[in-house]
Amino acid sequence: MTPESHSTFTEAPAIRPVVATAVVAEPEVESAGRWTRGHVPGEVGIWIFILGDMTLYAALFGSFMADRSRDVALFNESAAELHVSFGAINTLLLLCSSLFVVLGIRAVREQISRQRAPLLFALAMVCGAGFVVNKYFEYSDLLSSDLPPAENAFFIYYYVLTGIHLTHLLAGMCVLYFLYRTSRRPRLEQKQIRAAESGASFWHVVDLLWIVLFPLLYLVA
Amino acid sequence: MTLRRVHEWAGYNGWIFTAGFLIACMPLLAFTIPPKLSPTSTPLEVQAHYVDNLTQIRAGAWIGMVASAFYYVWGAAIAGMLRRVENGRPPILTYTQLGAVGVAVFNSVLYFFWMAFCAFRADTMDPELLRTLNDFQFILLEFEVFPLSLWAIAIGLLILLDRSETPVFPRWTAWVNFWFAGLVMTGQFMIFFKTGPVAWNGVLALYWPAAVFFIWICIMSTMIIKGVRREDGVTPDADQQFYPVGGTGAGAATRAGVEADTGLAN
Repeated sequence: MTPESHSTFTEAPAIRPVVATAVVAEPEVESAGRWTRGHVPGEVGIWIFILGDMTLYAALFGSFMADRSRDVALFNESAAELHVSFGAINTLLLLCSSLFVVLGIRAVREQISRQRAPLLFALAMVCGAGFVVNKYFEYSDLLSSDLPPAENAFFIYYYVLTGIHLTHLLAGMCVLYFLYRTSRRPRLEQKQIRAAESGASFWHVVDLLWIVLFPLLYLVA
Repeated sequence: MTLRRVHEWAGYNGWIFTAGFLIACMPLLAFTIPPKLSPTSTPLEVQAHYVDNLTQIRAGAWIGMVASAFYYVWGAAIAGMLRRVENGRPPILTYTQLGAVGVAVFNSVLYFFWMAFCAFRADTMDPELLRTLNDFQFILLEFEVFPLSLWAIAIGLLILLDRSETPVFPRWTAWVNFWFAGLVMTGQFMIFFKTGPVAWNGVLALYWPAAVFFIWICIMSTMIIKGVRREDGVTPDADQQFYPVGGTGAGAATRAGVEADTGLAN
């Protein structure tokens, strides 16, 4: 039975589709294996890297909250010195870039709309670059306002957390360039699509970490 | 003892090094993980710590120094096993590893040397000077991590580039190496701070890099042992001109010749 013959069943009585979809799903798993359940984006190893990376952030967030509970007043006062607008703009930029990457990866997978992919990855890189420029202005604004970063616990955390995140983001920019280059190839093999998925997963992690950092540093009061 | 057994022990060396290093540093001996002192300790506190624990610190330094010897063999094992990935090409990444392992071992050796050095005349030394020497010990341990990162990146690249049918190490271990290479670097910023998570007794400078480091060592040790057992007597996909060691088949004669030459036959 081919998948097409099953699709006619889906218009039949209510109980049928459940059975039919279950049967249809199987040949897909066997042949393509990519759009179906159980598909891990990218190669498995990248998830070891990503989850391992997140343990660092988990440790840092835990340590931040523990130190904050010891001196809530200082942390709240210091957090008020930050300009929420810088953080909000960066959040918006990263969310947009993630959206572009999602659309780009979809375009890479669908061979028909492939031409759009390089443009989407380039747009994601523009957003990433915007983040760096914004961060530069934010850092220089803070450093010129005579705050002692070496003594204030909140600002130690602020610089360490955003610094490590910025390092990730710069690495992510290299990954986006790799995605851009890959998507410009005339033909992609399965292995290259997998590598592109790995890269996209990394970029989403950069975004995700910022989504946690932003409320933690700027908004918690 | 067979050559295979010796090579397997190269893997066990990673565990011996881990155990020795940690026993030497943990409470009862040197008290450096977790440290009894902090960057804000006064010179007199530092001296009191050394004088009160003189014998333990010296014993810790000695155990750590012995453990460091096992570290080199472990590093050489990874470099040696991954050598066949660069099959016949200039072994640039292999030499990078060997250079890095040299620096890393020196770092470990110098760390315990410095521990012994601080304890040598601790009771009669100027406390101010002793505190400076003690700072040196921690900055040495936590600041010098670039050789480690470079080393792990070389290993990770070789694992990713390994196209053979039975790779030396499984592909996911490449990502463990990259993970280690990136995250072990968090300690470096300790030179900027004397309090908080990045000071030399803080989470980011001491505990995190130490955890990442020993997890990496233990995972790669297991992989060395597994790899040696799997590849015993055969070097799959390797250019036989460069790796003339065969199993029981056609290469057996050459293998016997090699073992006779090196004097390592059973």
